Amino acid sequence: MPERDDIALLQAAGKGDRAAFGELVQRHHRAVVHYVHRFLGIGDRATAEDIAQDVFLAAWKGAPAFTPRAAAFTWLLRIAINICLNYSRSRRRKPTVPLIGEPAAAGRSSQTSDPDTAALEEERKARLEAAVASLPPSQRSAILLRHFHDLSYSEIAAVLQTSVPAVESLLFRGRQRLKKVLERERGDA
Amino acid sequence: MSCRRVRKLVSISLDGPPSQRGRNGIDEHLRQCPDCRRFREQLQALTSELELLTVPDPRPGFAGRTLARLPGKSRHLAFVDRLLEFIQPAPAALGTAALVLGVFLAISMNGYGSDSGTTDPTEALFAESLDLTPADSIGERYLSLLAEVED
Repeated sequence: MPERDDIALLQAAGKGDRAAFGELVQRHHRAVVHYVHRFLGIGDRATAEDIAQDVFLAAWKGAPAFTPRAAAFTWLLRIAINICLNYSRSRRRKPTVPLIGEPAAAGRSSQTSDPDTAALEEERKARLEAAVASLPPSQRSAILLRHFHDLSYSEIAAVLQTSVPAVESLLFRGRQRLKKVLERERGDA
Repeated sequence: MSCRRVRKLVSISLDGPPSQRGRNGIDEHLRQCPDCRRFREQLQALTSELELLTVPDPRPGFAGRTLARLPGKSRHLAFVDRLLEFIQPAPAALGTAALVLGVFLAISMNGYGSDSGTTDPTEALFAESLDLTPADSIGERYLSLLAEVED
């Protein structure tokens, strides 16, 4: 049986087809969870997953009104951004540090067995997370979508509902700002 | 070309090759401007550093847990969804289970057909028509009994 494309699945979901929606969730949940996790800079995986589930619940409710002008994935990411912004506004929380032994640490990048090197790498990573979290939401989104989701400029423009030249500027300003924050953190500037 | 314009083009070039005209402009400027050359190196280093920003994958069963939260879902169907979610990542295991079940059924049915004490006469007739039953089988005995009754 040929695999149904995202738009067909979303349209079926809009008519109440849970199996189709389940397939859509199965296809995109990893990307949505990762996006939420990085965008909010939250340390624990369970919270990121809860928020990602909220994204899919909103998608389920919004599916009947979906019009296939946009790709289903960019539509999902747009919902993810709105949910993340609402979460940020409601919590006004700073990025949290994962608890010791929390499974989130398992996904961290330390691949070295040397504890000193691993600690340094964790420190660099924490600085980077804080720097990304300090970016304005639109710049942060543009950088995350480009670097981690491999979206083209036109796809990012569709998610952020802006133009391609605006995406170029968002990426440029975001990178410039990120560079400055990291330099300041390191005491280079 | 101004430094700001060049730096923006440098940022764009990180994501894909710029146009020939743009590249000529950047290269010309970079040859003469050490600050912009340093900017390009820093941006390239930043791109590599972003790779550090790894996050863990969602736990198994995410889709099932999400479907269970959809409104208007009966508990029974939620269980089915969770079951499907559970078996979805393991098609090989599912295939193996189906194969084992198929072999089991085949063996059971074969045994059933050869058991003279419990043989369904219709099935025995069918087996005989395929010439699968040995001579003097239950099928032949059944046919002879049938002939006697008809006589």
